[in-house]
This record gives sequence, C-alpha cells and structure tokens, in this order.
Amino acid sequence: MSEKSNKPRKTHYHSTVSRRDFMKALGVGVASVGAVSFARPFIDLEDMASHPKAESVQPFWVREVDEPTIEIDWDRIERFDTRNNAFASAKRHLGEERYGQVFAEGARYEKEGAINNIPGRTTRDQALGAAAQWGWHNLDVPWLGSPTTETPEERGIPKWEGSPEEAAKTIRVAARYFGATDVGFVPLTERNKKLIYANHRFEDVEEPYESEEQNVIPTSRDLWAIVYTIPQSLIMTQRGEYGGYGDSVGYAYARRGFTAQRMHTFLHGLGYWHIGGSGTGVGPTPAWGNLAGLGEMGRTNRLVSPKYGNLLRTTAVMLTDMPLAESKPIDAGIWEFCKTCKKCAEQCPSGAISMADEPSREVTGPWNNPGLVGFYDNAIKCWEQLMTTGCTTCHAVCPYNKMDEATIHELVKISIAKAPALNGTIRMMDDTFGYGLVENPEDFWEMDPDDYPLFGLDPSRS
Amino acid sequence: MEWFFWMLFGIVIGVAATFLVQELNKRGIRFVWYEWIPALLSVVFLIGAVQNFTGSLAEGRVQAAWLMLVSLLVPTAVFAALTARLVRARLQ
Repeated sequence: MSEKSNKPRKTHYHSTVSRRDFMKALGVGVASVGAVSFARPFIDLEDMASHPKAESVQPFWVREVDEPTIEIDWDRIERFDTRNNAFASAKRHLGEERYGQVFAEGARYEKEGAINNIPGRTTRDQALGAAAQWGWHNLDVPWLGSPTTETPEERGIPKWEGSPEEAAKTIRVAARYFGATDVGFVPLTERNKKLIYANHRFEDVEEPYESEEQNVIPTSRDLWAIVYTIPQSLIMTQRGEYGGYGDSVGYAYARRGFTAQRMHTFLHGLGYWHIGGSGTGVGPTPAWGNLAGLGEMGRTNRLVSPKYGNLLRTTAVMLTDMPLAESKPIDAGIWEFCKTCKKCAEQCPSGAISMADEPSREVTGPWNNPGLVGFYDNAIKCWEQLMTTGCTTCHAVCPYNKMDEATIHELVKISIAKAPALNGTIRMMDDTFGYGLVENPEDFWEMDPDDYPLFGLDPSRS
Repeated sequence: MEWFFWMLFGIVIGVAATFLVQELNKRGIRFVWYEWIPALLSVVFLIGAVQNFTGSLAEGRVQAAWLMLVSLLVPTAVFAALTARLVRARLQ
C-alpha cells in the first residue's frame, strides 16, 4: 500500500513578528516605542538562539502540516541518479551535434549583445556577471567539507551537547549567520532515504567517507538532515535574462560554497558529523526543502518559499548525527496558487514548464524523479535555454517574488493562504500593476547605492 | 530614514485628527459610534495608500506605485465622504 499524502492538516501557526514587520504593521511613529524592546542587542550565541526567531522563520499566516501539500506516492519514488540531471545528461539526450550547437548559439548570443550594445548583454553586463559568479565551481567544498578547526575530541575538550530543540536553534542561528536564509530539520527515515541520491551508498561503517567511486553514509548512527536555503537577488533577477543580471544565479551558488564550508567547520567544531551541503549534495533539494517546511512545491517543479518565492537559488542538504528537533512541512497556499497562476509557464521562452491545469504523475523524461503528483518540467528544454540566453524568466515573473517594502505584498500572501478563491484575481492584478522583468536592466547602474544588493542579497529581503 | 518619515507622518495624522475633533467639539458636533467606523477606515486606507506608494517607489516599481496610490485613495475618499454624509444626515 502506498503512503500518499495530499491532505495537509493544521497543527499550529507560527507567531514570529520581526522588527521590520512590526514597524510596518503600525506604520506610524508610535512604533518606535515597541521597536526598542525588540532591538535589544544579542550577547552571545546562546542568547541569539533564545530569540523567538530562532524557533521559526515563517510568517504567522503559514500553517505547519503533517505532510507536504503536494501529493507524494512514496512507493513510486526511486533514488535519483545525479547522472540523469539535465546538466549531466544533456549531451546524451540531445546528441553530440545539437549539444555543440547550443554552446555555439550561446557564444553568438553573447557576442551579438556586446557588439550591438544590447541592454543586459553589453560587455559591461557580461563582465559583471562573469565576476559575480566567481566561486560557483572553484569554491565548492568537498562532500565532507574541509573543516578549518579540530574536533573537540582532538582538542581534548568535551563536545557540545544540548537538547534536540537547543541544537536546532543553535544550528538555525549559526546557519543564518553563515548565509542561509531559512533552516529546517528532518530525521532520516527508511521512507525519506529514497531521497538520497542513488550514487551515494549506505554502509555499516563507523565514519562517513568519500572515494572517487562512491560517497558513503554510515548506518551505524541515527542521522538528521539540516536543510537550508540560499536565495538569489530579486533586484538583479528582474533585470535580465543573461543569467539574471550580474549573474545573480551564479553568485548565489558561490555563496552556497561559503555557507557550506562554514557549516562543515561549525559542526566539526561542535563534535558532530557533517555530510554534503555543497554542490555534490545529498539528494534532490526541492524535495528536502519541502519536507523541512522551507516552502512548497510550485509549478516550476521547484521549491517556493513564503518569504522568498521561487528565488531560492538552491536548497542545501547536510546530514549530521546531531539530534535535532524536527520541523514540519508547511501550507501557505502556494501549491494551490501555482495551479491557477501559470505565469511562469506562459512566459517560459523554452516551454519547459507545464501548462497543465491539474498536476500529473507523468514524468517528461529521466531527468524527473517519479513519485510526485506534480507539474513535471522538461529540464532539457530549460537547459538549452540556459546555455544560450541564460534565462531566469520564471524567477523574474513569479507573482510570489516581491520585495517587502510595500505592505500590499504581505496582504496578497495572506490572501493566497486564506482565500484561494482570489488567486485568479491576484494573478490578473500582478500583470496590471506591471510586475515582472524590468524594461531597462542597465538602470541598475543609476540606482541609489544604498539599494544595491550587498554581497548579492537584496537590502530589504535578507 | 524610513522610521523618520513614518514618525512625521504619524505626527501629522495625530495633529490633524486632534484639530478636527476640537473644531467639531467647538461647533457642538460629536461623532456617534457608527460614524467612527467609516472615519477610521478612511484613515486606514490613507495610511495604506501612502505606505504602498512610497514602498513601491522604493522597490523601483513606478507603475505599481501610482496604481496603488489611486486605487487606495478612492476608498479613502469614499469613506471620508460617507462619514461626512452620515454626520450631516444625523444633524439635519
């Protein structure tokens, strides 16, 4: 009998109110009185971990549920072989000739942009992108990291210990300090072991290890997945199709390496295992993000977060033997909204995103992992577009991706969560109000310097 | 400086409301409870209009800013007019 899950059940609501939310809710000068009480400086990591924000990072209108909002047929899920992902398998699926053509078209597209000074593709734009993506590949860390500290055992001091709740708070605070926006925790079970990549092997060994052939996960201890998200800049993504202006995509991947290495070192220094979290990964990241309650699956077949929309460039998964308090999947109405909206699919230049009215069990090719009743994307079409024009259209146009300066966006998200009957109207209003790709990406150079994304992160959304 | 803008805005709203209530008191006009409702809704929509206009400009969304301003000033005016009409009707 298959374990299916499509009926989320309310457990409880989050109640976190940030300083920014608080100021906005009042919207008048008297808010400064209350803000003083929130503005107390932190003293140390223990103090930071005791802050309510360390317990939950989702807005108050997001419900925790027992199972993800998307229907999952666990019996049909197979451990995914990363050699089938679009990047690794494009040549196999397209054939040598077409594969070569794609790169030639990409080079021509770039050259044409530079010679004709096309906004978003000028020599300056391309140089900005090339510089921003530095670190994407060359700073990625090994599967077991390369910690820059010794373990407590090696130092002759006790390992850090705390309750699962204290440990979860500690990891959440540290991960955010290292560059992760949201963090969730999932105990590894027989069921969700299907979401560990097929090219990793479980073995009854004392320690995890990696070799040229295989990465090995020990079965000798209980394991937990630390799942955290790395967003990309909305300001930059909405400014162009060339890899997101200033290659906001590559920049976010580069920040993943910075964060992963610090997470490896932190767990090492506390005295616990640290496996994955980097480009090599542990398993399909949208799936783990969904289980950890960092978002819901969307029409793009990727994770959509209540706070960051589908601008989560990547979700990192790191396994550890540190016992952690489990976080639950969430229901923010996103999955239902995606069924109605279709804006990403309508504007996808390659037609890679499903336009179906209802989710389906049918995969589009071996690059998809079966088992979801979802909107499967044609990842090879997407790859071709990426390699020629560096597209980020689905991220730029998603109505869920908004800055947080205007309070209307929060009200819209509350409506999506509580009044799905208005979803069609919300989509229509998004078009009417002119959201989506901006007309002239080069106005980036004329922006107020305070509004530039600092280290690739939007000033008002981090 | 965002907080400074909102502090000034709060002061302006507070001073204007105090002045209005004092002027009405001088003329012997007092709101009854059901007249406060559209009056307060009018203020809420006014604050919403200003916040979303300035917020959308800060987001670099000029078209959204102006549409937001217009679409929220309309209910502001409607509720203000309704308040005045209710008061006038009661006094007559």
